[in-house]
Amino acid sequence: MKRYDAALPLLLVTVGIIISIPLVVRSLVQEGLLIGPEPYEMMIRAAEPATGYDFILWSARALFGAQVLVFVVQLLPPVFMIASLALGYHILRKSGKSQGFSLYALILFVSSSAVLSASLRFGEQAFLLFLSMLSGYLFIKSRLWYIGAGLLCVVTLTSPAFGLMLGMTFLFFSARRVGRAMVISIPSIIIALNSSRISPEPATLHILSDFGSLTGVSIFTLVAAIGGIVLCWRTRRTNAPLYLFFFLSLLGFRLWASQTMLLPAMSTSILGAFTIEKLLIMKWRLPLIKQLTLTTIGCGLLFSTLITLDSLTVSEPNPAVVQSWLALSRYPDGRVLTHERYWPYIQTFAQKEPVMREPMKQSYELFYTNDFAIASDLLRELNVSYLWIDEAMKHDLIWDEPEQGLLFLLRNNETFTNIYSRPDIETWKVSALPDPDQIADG
Amino acid sequence: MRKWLFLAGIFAFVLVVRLVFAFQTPYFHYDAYQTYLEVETILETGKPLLYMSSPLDKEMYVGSPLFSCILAGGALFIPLSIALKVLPNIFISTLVIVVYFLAFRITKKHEIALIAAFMSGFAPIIYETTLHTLSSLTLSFPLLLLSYYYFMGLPKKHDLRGFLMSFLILTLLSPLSFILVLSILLSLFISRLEGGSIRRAEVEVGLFITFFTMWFQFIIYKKAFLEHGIRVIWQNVPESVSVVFFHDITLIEALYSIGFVPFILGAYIISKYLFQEKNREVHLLSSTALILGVLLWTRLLPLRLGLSILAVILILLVAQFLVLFVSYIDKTKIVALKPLFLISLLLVFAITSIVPTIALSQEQLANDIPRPGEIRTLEWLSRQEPGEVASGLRDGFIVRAIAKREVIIDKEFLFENDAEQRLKDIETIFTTPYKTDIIASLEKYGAPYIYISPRTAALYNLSTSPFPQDCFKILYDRQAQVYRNICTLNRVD
Repeated sequence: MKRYDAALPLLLVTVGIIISIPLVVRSLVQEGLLIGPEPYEMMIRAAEPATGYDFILWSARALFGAQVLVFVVQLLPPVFMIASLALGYHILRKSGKSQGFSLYALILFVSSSAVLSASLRFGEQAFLLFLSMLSGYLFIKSRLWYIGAGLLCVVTLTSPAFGLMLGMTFLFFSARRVGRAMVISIPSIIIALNSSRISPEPATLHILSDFGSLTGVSIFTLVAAIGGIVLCWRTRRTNAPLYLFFFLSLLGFRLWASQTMLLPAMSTSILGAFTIEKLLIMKWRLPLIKQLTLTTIGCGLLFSTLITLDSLTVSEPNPAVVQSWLALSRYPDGRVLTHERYWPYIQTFAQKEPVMREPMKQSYELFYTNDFAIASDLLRELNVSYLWIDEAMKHDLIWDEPEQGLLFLLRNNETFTNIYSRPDIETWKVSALPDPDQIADG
Repeated sequence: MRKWLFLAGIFAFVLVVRLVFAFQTPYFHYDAYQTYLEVETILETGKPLLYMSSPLDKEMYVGSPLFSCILAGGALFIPLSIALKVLPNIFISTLVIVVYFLAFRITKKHEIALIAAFMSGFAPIIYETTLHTLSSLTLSFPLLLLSYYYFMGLPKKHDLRGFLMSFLILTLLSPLSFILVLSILLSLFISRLEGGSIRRAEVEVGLFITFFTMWFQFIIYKKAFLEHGIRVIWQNVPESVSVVFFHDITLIEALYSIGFVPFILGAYIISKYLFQEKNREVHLLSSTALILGVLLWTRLLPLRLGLSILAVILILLVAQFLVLFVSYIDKTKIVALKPLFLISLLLVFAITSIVPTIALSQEQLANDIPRPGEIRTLEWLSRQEPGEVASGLRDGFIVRAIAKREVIIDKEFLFENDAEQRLKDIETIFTTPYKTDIIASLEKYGAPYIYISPRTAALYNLSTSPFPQDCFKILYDRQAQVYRNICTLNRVD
């Protein structure tokens, strides 16, 4: 057992180093731009007091100013994640799992793209995980379990879907403390059922990080988890909560996608740890095959981790695209129409108001219409002053054809003026909208 | 000694027959020209064609280059055209040797193993998929069966070493190792269900190859997986092509391609051993047949590739049938007629397998091999001014290999994000009556040339002069035609 004593701190330090790689590389190569639109969204939300993670960021902004907020947004999620890992280790140990098992589970967990993304991009998820782990730790260990209940309520208020899944998980694992678990879980479940909305986008195929998902797990972890399900079958009564948690986490991921992305990583890691432990302790008939198998699993996990780190390092925004938003910032105020995922960039870099922050019916009607009269009405109704269009919008996000809908109407240079153009980015100014009566007459 | 002479004789006979068929034409299957180009590139640059410049100047990865490297290695010692004809046929002819050993391991009877080896040399579908195609299947297929052979001998040390060697080369060579993994896992599962004893070594090796195959294929196809996600399994084939690519199977088609005797007798052995008898080796082969059936049914495996493997697996199961048949005859009063029965069986096999083999080879020669005029046209095109070419989907590889031009689309769909759109544009070029649409499609890809092979002309039912002459100048017109677009579209605002 002694051999594992130093392993946890070593693992936590290693995780810290791994997580910092994309941050360091981006600060050197990408002018320190944050990873993805989510951190920018967080910074915008920090401008006003709110609950949960937003409250922490708002406090940081109020105390240290907007300049420091950029560092807080980058550094806080990794800190939450590392603290969560330490708490998770202790929860597993308190649940009767061996030191080795707990470490294997943590290694599998860390190798998943969901964990790396939560640490670097989806900061709120890291915060929720930390609260959940703290809540679980208090629930298992101390007399302060009612604080755990309060924390779970905070989790639920911040992310109802996450809270719902977690509340139900607490119920599953509460064989000997049903009353306490009910007190902890029921309020969260009620709040969550009342407020969580199912994500419209099915996420089933986005669970494998090896297929490019930033919110999933490695296929090796998934296979190891399936092995764990088989291995635990003999003691299925004892391990029933684990099975329930596994299926619940997949269901949660299917229904709420990235809102509950850490739960499949948690469940598969715990189940996968059974397989890794078994592979290590079982007596192999062919020792060479044992070495090769374990080496392959190690390489596979490393490979998945590197793919995720690479994807995060090169993910949007890049300095060249930011230039186009900075150029737009020099024009007079007005609303900018673009895809909804770009709204934090438009607000942060272009310092303009985005037309939509989530899919909006009229905006999409405007994107797809070929009718100039309808387009004019919609431009007027939405009060659009600028259009920002990139290649992703032209080929995948919105349009399929080169001159489809609004792209065709942009030929009208009386109404639209090109104010920024690069091979992959165009910014258009809506110059003068014709009078509706004129269109009707003409 | 006599059995080795017989085996050598079968190998030599199969090789000679294959070479006779192969040298009926100096050219290759249309699809083989992708490998042809890869081998040529290796010989010219000394480096495999890992990254190729696509029309959009994006880098693209085309899979494992090992087979092309091996062919290029052979071409260092003999002329390229001969090396590409001889080497793949030698590789695939070794199948009879592997089948002999595998059949002997299952049946413990030399005579039956020799019959199985002979039958495997004449499965019609294998001729179709390997004769002119320069397919890595010619090497990976014997390696797949060799892996099965060594797996059956586990946990003996030399079998373990042999298994690891053959499995590693197979994994480096092609994704066929997935079939090995799935069939081994299924056979272990079936053995477990039947309450039979499972060798620990087999479970351990099963675990290892599962993880290794997954990891290695993810490394090879990393970019493709990141680009297309799970669609890589279907090779990003456009919906309109997938019906042809993965093809629906009819029973008659399967029977004809695999051979009547192996199909019926193999299916009988699968059902018998799955429900009545216990035999590890037969379970492994039956599992492979079942896995292939499922993969073909779900279109996860191209039709001809799947049927080729299935044909040999069924022939190995026929060997087990012959053991049962001979032992049954031995117990009856007509034991004296045993040779007659076996000769009759071989005769039926000859009629139902060797005859289709010859027919399919001739059919392939007529339909799937380019004519001299096509090659001359493409060689002429290679000497013209640079520019991309609009050609039919199936002509993509040969245009790239012989004319040395980029094409709007070929059958390598993995790195075309807009494969469906490109296919639509090609269809527009060959079918629309409006020259503006043709010019717009050509300009979209910067393609001034249109290449029309006899196959493309037949596919789109093109007349002798299919394009308006004021915009499309005919540059070359023999067995194939080359047009050049001389008009441009101007936008009128």
